[in-house]
Amino acid sequence: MTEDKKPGFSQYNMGGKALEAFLGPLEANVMESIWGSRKTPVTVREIYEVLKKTRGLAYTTVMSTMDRLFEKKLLDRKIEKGRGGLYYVYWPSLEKQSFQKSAVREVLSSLIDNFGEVVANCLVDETSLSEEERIALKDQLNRNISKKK
Amino acid sequence: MGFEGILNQIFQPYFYYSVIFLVVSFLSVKILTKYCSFLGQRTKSLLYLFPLVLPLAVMLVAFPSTGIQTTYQQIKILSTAGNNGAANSFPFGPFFPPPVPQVINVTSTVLSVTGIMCYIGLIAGALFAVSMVLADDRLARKILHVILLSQEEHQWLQVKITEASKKLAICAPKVGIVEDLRPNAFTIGYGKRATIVFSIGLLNILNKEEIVAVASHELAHVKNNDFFFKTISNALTTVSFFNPLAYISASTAQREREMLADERAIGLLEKPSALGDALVKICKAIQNLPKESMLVNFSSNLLITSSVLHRVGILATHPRLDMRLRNISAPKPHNNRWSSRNTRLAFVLSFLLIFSAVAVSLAMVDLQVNFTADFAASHYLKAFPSDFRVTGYQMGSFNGTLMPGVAAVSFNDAQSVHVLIYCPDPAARIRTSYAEMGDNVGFNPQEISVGGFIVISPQNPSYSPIQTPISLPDSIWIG
Repeated sequence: MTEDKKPGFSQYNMGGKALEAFLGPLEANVMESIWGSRKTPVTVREIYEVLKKTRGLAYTTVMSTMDRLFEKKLLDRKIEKGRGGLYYVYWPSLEKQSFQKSAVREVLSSLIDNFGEVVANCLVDETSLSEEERIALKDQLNRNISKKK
Repeated sequence: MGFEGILNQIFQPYFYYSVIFLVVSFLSVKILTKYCSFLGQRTKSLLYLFPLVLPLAVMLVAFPSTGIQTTYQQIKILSTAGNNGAANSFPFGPFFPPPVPQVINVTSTVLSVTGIMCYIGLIAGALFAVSMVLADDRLARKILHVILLSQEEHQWLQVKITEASKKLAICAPKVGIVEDLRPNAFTIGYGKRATIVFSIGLLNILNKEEIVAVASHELAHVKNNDFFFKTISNALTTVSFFNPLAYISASTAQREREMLADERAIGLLEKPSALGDALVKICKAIQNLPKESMLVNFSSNLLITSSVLHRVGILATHPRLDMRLRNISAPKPHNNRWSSRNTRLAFVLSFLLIFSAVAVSLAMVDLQVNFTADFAASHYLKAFPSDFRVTGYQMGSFNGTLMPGVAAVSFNDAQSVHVLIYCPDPAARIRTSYAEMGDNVGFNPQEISVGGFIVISPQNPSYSPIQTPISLPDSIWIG
């Protein structure tokens, strides 16, 4: 798993908590289950067994969700041969932290591209620094953002 | 275990007759089903169960035993009046009185390998049948990782299955899926516990019409009670697990059930050709996918009533694709003419086959008894000098009744023929001796000794007793 991989998500959900900010609730659940799974790679059935207990999901729903996550490049998959015949096994393209970092970076990058200095100012305002420190930090950030542009 | 031991194992009635009956009845059924055009698929499939039932019937009548008990009679040659040299010399003819023989019955028991095989078959068959009936659907669902569909999943398919079930007057089975990417569908359980299972691979490659056609085929299996048919045929095959023909007979029976299910399924479909299209697509798809391992194939075949996957070979549980397509496109009309030439021929052939097989099997048993006796004689007379050749041995009989303990051993030393007879019953002895000699050796006894060995020489002018005394073994075994 490398950090260069760019997971495909196209929108940011303001009301979503944690991963749900980037993914649909079901997708987030599936990803959490896969990251939390002791065994990787996993089959659809294994994730279905986990989610069935908490959310009462149907197998086909989990299957199509995992298929979608594969298309979004959040999951990788291959065909394996076992007792149940031939089946897909899935594993995450990125570790959870790498994914979060990559997702936040992508959102930030988009914000900076669109709003530039405003983004830096807002970020600094969210910190608990003193007024002087904030001004200094804002100046430094804005210079760097201008250079990047 | 020597050759005699192996023969003894094979000719145990519970093993020997179960094998012979299965072979003969299978060949008869094969002839009947080939030439009797009026036989339908259902009748044919039931006929193929018949060869599997016979070994069970044989084993229940002649119940297997774990040991084979053999009683040998040992003729112990005792000395006469303290003259050991005379007692142990041969021939005695010119030097009467002969030694006094003593017969000792010796019983030995050997492990019956065939008996143990029959026991294993009976126990495993019974366990299989009981476990299938009690726990098949749960067991199969667990082993095959079947996931039952909720009411919302593939709702259209579940509606179609319910409608078709009503037409067939059966309880609508549950619907499940397996993750397998190979296209397949099968049925597990029976009655209200029946579940039709589709693989993801099948749902991916077939259109809705074709999926419904496959579902109809599976529903036909439920309607035809093929769960019980398959359970019985597999259990009976397990009873005769040591006989390769049992597997062939069971597979042939199951192929007939597949054709029967196809015939019933097309009656349910608006477009019967959809079933043929589905089978063609499935066959094409699996050609590019890796095959199941033999073990997986075998174990899943025990649990499921029907799998649409097409396998080829003598043990295939499914008919060839071309045969199925032909059957689907134009089901063969059944000819009800019992008197047709082929039918008569089939019955005559079957009768002859059964008759000759019974005769041959009985002759084989007789042959085996004689062989064992000859074998025992030659084996136990090895102690004789090499210029003596054992030329015959047989159990004696009196008034047509086998007389245990009456035995004759003949051998020649290149100069003359000598026969030893021991007869425990004085009345039977002489008459038997004459008869046996006349029948088997072709000469009249010259000298007969009462109450012991009889040494007979041919009435041949050139006969001259052997001058050199020849040592006899201490004892001779009679099988």
